[in-house]
Amino acid sequence: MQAKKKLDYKRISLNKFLSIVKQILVSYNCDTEGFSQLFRDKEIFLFSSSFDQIEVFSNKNNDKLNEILTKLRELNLYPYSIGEPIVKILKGKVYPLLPISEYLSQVCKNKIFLNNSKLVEKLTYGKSVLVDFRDVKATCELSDNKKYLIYSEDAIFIAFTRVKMKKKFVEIIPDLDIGWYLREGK
Amino acid sequence: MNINEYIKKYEKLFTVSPSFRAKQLARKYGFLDYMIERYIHMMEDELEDFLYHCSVPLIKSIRCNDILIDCERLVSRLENKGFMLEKVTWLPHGYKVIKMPKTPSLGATIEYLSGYYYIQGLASMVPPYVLSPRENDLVLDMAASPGSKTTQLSQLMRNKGLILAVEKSRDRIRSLMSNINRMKAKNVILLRTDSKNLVKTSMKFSKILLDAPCSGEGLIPEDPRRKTKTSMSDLKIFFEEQLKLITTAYLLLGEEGTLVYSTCSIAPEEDEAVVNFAIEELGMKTDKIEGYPAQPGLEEFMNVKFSSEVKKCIRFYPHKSRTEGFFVCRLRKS
Repeated sequence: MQAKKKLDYKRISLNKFLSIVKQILVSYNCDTEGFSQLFRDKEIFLFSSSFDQIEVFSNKNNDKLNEILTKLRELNLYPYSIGEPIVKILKGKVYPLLPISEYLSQVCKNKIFLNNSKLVEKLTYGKSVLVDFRDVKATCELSDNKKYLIYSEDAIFIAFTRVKMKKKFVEIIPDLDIGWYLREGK
Repeated sequence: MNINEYIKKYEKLFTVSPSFRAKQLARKYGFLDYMIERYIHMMEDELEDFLYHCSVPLIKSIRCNDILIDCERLVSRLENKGFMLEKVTWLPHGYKVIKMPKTPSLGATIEYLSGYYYIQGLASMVPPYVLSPRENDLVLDMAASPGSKTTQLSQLMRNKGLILAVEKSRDRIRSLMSNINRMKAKNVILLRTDSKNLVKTSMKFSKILLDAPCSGEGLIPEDPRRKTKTSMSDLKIFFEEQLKLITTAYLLLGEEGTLVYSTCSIAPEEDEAVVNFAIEELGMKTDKIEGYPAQPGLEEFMNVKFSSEVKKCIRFYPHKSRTEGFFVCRLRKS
């Protein structure tokens, strides 16, 4: 995680994790039980610094993971990340990070598929798009000011968004899109 | 013999007197004089062919991430966007990009952003294959940014086992983190520190990749500024740091463990001279690397002899392999 203050981390339980991400699961209309199943075999860590972040490592009871973390701690070394960053917590608000999309995709209902590749491309530049209702394929009824996961026509995750309903159009406003990797990662 | 004594012993490597011919060719091709003098010793009859190919841009290449997508499907998707790919027979996941559309660029497709491929030099894909990590290995990647090899190791391990990816630089760790997440590598602990700090623990790894920080003398076809960037004294500084890093790798490697040492440099001072230290002073052994269109390591350079074990290492040259210049060596602790 990016932070200027000193990092620290601790393991947290699945229940604690679920309580933290609860608002995200509600926002995207997700099946909490299904979501929790996806994390049963994972180690979950809460990183703390100038903001908090939750990261998950794939194999629970991984002896090597425990050994490495113990030995690093002996040297007063703290990992920058462990596995996948899932959510960021800033001033009490919880924000999804891109890797969580893989999990949400499996258990959430608020999904929009766009069959217009130009609009998809525009979203990856972090820009809002106006979409004709005819170009929208949603897995649930669209509601104003609600959160939706956006996919390309062939189900590639593109962005976390919220939508605004207009007369003939839906405005899709990205909160975080996969173009972030290009903009921030270089 | 300690590192300082070793550097003293091989001081001759860093006292190059450019000949008239070297100076002439340096002017013709825009290199530093000392570089050409070394190339005269390395390339002999192939010198001008090599120098010419240093000015020919390399064909872009990608590594397909078969954890996320079937590679044939990736090829088909990219071809639908106007790209044309050609499979590289000697790399399991490597493709040359032989044609590109005006838009999108190779680094801005949905497939790229989704982690379906990594834009990576062909020779740069070789070290992880040579290390060949298994799903239960504990792997150390000692200088991990920007993440091409870390994510490739993770792919080869099918996201199992564990990789400790270490990066010293605060600036470079950001791109490393981004690439690890983009490629959906899930078995990586990322640590910002100098790898040398790890020897203070009893940590031992079954496999280590040391893709050492280097002059980048192999990347001249991609970045012509490197023809004049590295002075002889810079090269010596890299050499000293590489000796420290390979010593660290040796200390962190478990018994019978495997170390792959690689650089994106064709400078023997950063390659064979470093591996020679691991052989002669640390008692490591090299394994022959086969199956790549590469040349053997140099046993002798500028009248300095190295252990004959260095012949088992491999070198890639732009004029022979049509790749970036690269060096790869597999060592065992026994």
